[in-house]
Amino acid sequence: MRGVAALLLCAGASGAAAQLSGTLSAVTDYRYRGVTFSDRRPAAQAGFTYDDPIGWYAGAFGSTVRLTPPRASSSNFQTIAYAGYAIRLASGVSLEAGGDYSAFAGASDLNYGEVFVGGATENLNARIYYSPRYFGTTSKAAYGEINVAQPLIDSLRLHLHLGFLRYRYENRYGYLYGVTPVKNVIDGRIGLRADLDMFQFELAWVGVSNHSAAYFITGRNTPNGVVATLSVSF
Amino acid sequence: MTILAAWRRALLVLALLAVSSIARTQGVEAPEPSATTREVLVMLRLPPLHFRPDAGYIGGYSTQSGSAARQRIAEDLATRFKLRIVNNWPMPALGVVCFVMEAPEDLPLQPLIERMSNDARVESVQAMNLFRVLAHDDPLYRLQPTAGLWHLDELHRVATGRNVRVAAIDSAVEVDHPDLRGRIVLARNFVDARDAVAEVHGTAVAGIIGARADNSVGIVGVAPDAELMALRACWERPADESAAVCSSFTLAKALQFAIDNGAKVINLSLGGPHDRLVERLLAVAVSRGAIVVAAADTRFAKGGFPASLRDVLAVAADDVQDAAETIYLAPGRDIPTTLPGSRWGFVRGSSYAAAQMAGLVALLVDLAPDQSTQQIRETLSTSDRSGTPPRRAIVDACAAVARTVGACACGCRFARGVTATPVHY
Repeated sequence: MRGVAALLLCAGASGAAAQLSGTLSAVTDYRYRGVTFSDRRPAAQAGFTYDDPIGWYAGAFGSTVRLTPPRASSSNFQTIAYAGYAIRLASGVSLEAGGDYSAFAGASDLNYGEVFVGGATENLNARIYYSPRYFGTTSKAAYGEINVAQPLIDSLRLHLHLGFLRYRYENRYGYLYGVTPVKNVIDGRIGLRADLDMFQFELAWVGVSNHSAAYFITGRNTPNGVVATLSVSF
Repeated sequence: MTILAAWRRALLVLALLAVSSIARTQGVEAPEPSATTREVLVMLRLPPLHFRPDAGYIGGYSTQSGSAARQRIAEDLATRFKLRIVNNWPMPALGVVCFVMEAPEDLPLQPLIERMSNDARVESVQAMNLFRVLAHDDPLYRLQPTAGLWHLDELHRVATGRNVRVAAIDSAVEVDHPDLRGRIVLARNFVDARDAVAEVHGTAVAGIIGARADNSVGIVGVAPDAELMALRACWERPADESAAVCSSFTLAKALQFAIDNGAKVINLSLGGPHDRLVERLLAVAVSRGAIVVAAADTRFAKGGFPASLRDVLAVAADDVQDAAETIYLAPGRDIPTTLPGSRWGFVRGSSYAAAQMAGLVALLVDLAPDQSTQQIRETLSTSDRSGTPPRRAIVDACAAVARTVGACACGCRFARGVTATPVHY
């Protein structure tokens, strides 16, 4: 009983010191690793994160989507649950390891999980993700990303993102007309972000090296384009 | 002394005498902070940066959604302990956000701090301390060029502080002073949101460290090619321009900035009570390779705070009495330097001795960039050449440079078989 009581006390103390935060966002086009998941239409999003004082974190993110993959059920909502552990070194660099699981309402065949490791400084972060069953297929995928946030003036930042997907394409639906198996996809994003108290606004250009790279997931091609995001933090 | 050097010195004397009649600066509209003695610094944990799939999320503390959560916690703490939130500043070097909260007059601070420190949401809490610069502005004092004492001309053939970033955490610097124009790579005001008005102490310190060389005006900084960062954390009071004050909060903000921007040398020509927040940030700066120089207040053992910290080079003016063995002595009298209003004047005090040491350290770092504080200490070890009775000697800059390069640094034409190897010109 003493042990249980001690655990409860620790949990209580930890809970009191933990931080719960979140965002609500509206985007003109939900881009996931460069690919439109909302058929180039607006989407609503929400996310929250729980940060334990010793470095554990967990959270969830949800977004409306418009997916109509060929020969599979469609979905209008994606949820990403994630958890991990992060530590800030004396050098100021944060290191982390974790995992996330992406689930699609009405299209569970697209669900998949991945693990990741990464490092971050205040204005730069990089991560590598690995999934043994990318979007529910039997394909393995690795994704690497580098993000830079360069302050310009007090409340304005330049955001840069570069991502690289290494994907071993194994189409379980058979041959898809017009779709070429793609193994390497690069996506990029360059945007300006303004912070005004609890609100953030970002205008970004998003590009992807192969516009039909995710056709089997979205049922749509993805042209390059401009995306606007309005978020509120809480 | 060569004829040319004699002429230069005579011209400098004339120039300084010409401006001495206006060497006292005009009144500066320095802002007075709120009653800092009633303020406490409350540190809340800043979680390490990590994965978030929120739209457009990239990172960075100012855009991190968690800032709203910390604001919420701070507001709850303020309500619970009857405080008013004044300001806040992220300090990722310590993994905290520092909130400034003001206590009402009838609330004793020490019991408040003890109660707040028991709250699990609070990483640490302390009183807001005040610091004062350690200097006297003395514009008509007898000229004694420090360039001659340290043989700057010769040292500058070996090193000029090039590519060494020096943070002068002080009052506001006149960045467009004729001797400083183009020498300040970064200037920030951590006292208030207004444009900083040039102040005496900061301008004088910046000039001593890094005034432009060979521009036919004014003085030569000890490290004339160092990259100066003018970080305003202190403010002058209109009644006494030479008595600038700083607070725990403004110093901490400036230190965080210096750390973020790769300062290799940090000069603190100031002193005050022991301050845990400032001490922690200095420890981080040192751990990331910065050399910290601080003016010593010889009224206190080992020079007071922050000079007494183990990893800080404590420096006092050479005319102080009873300086502890751990305190270095540097020229602190009759130092010509830059002053606001495009003027020059004489200053004296440990503040300016520290500034000269910061310049010298920049030269040493220029020569050997990866030196630790301990290695710098060994390089600066003084030798007493004054005879009997022995007394503390001023740091021998030539010897320090010679130890660093392993060759003669000054008067080399008299040294047999040993010549300095010029690094920059």
